[in-house]
Amino acid sequence: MAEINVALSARDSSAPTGKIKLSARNVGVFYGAANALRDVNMDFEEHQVISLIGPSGCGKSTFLRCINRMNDTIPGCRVVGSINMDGTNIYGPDIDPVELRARVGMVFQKPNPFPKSIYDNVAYGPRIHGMAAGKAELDEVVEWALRSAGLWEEAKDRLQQPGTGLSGGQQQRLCIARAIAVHPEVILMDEPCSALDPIATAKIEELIDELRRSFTIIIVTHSMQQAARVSQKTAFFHMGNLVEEGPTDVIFTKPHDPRTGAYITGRIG
Amino acid sequence: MDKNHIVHSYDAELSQLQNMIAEMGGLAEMQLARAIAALVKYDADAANDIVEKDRRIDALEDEIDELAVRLIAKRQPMASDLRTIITGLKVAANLERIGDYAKNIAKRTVTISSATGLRGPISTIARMAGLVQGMIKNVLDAYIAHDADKADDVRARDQEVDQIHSGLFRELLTYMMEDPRNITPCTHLLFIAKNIERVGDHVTSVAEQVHYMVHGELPLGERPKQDLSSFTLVEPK
Ligand SMILES: Nc1ncnc2c1ncn2[C@@H]1O[C@H](COP(=O)(O)OP(=O)(O)OP(=O)(O)O)[C@@H](O)[C@H]1O
Ligand SMILES: [Mg+2]
Repeated sequence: MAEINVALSARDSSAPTGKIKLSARNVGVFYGAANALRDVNMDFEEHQVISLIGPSGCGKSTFLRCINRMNDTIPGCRVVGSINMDGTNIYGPDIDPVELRARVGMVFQKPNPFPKSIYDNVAYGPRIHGMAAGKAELDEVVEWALRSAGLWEEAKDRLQQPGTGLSGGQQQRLCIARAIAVHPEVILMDEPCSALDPIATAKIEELIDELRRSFTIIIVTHSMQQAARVSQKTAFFHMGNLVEEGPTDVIFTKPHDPRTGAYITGRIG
Repeated sequence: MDKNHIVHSYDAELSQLQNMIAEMGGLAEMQLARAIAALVKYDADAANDIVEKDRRIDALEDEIDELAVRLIAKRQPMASDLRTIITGLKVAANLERIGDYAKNIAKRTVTISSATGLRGPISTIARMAGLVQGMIKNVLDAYIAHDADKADDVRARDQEVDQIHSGLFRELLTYMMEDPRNITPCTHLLFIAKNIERVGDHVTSVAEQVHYMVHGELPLGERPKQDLSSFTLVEPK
């Protein structure tokens, strides 16, 4: 994906720095009285891909939504604890959740382009956040985002056609372009490949590896192989608890906790 | 190991792999025992039969390799399952080598056919082989039971084999110096002893693999080495 390299070289792309981008402390989530997530403590390094794995209902999506305060939008949902981004608590009083969501982008399981043109899908964020001064600048941002998402060559001649007319894999890359158009620092992905075929999945995985040079990426996946392939760090959740986290290589060859071992080897946990 | 995969056929395939290793190990152990018995009795017919039977061990290794590759492709094993399968491949390779050494002992038995007057060293060889057979049996038990402690014990016992080998080396050199007619049979006996010593090394390697399979890392610390034959000198009187 040469075009991505070109697009990203313009930015400050670097190898993992070891710098902590995000750190969750004693994070818990309640839906009404139900305690869906308990006491999560975890650090996320800059320019790494971190996988969150675990059985259905263990709280992966719930945790992911804490990181861009999407849970705020769910009635009856209450988050406790703190999440620091570059040392500032994103649940602090000075934080505007809408601004936060520009810094922490999100890509969902089902590609969900707006019912608008390809161009407008990508231009949407920069427009509402006032990130482009004029038409020419906006064009530039759109091209950069589409190139970074590896979609420019396929989309450049049909920018005014609806985003929903793209294939599933292309739509997902459009959603990634939309997420990165506002220059976020962190990208959250909730099962981004579960609706895609193996080729489209491979393209997204390749893209994730490229994007890591510019962003910190947290991905929820049900595919152990995908987690093993794309991430440097893996965290295993079980029944609302973070059971174990560590280097991906270690988690998939010699996990420490028997629950992790049981889950990743396909045994009853 | 836990036999409780959600997909039961996966358990069945892993069990099959372990059964094949057990069968292969049992055969290798028996081949060594029969090779030594043939040597002690100078039984060329038995020795020829051993050479023939080695094919079954080779064939089993191929079957194990195939099954392991199929398992990896089909199940994409992780963690303890992955380690079990990779260990299976390595153990099978070690057992195949053990079979080869037994075969080589049998071939040399046919060549020397009789070495009267060398009863002493031959009984030492038989004792050394008995020790190694015990190690093969224990390491296979350790593999099947996923018992790393038992495997570690086997690993520690290889020193005894090395010690006997060093002593035997010296003894055989002395025989050769006493009577040049001993040189041919003693040289073969030297190789036979070396073969048994190598079998011990392969058993040790299997023991280390079992430790890895259970704990996810190789045993710590250099293995104790007691084979001094590389430094042995016997000066003519
Ligand atoms: N909006 C909500 N209202 C009430 N309960 C919820 C809500 N969202 C999630 N939950 C509950 O919280 C728990 C964790 O759900 P969550 O969606 O985080 O799981 P998950 O690990 O993402 O599962 P999956 O792999 O199936 O997506 C579950 O018990 C779920 O029923
Ligand atoms: Mg989810």
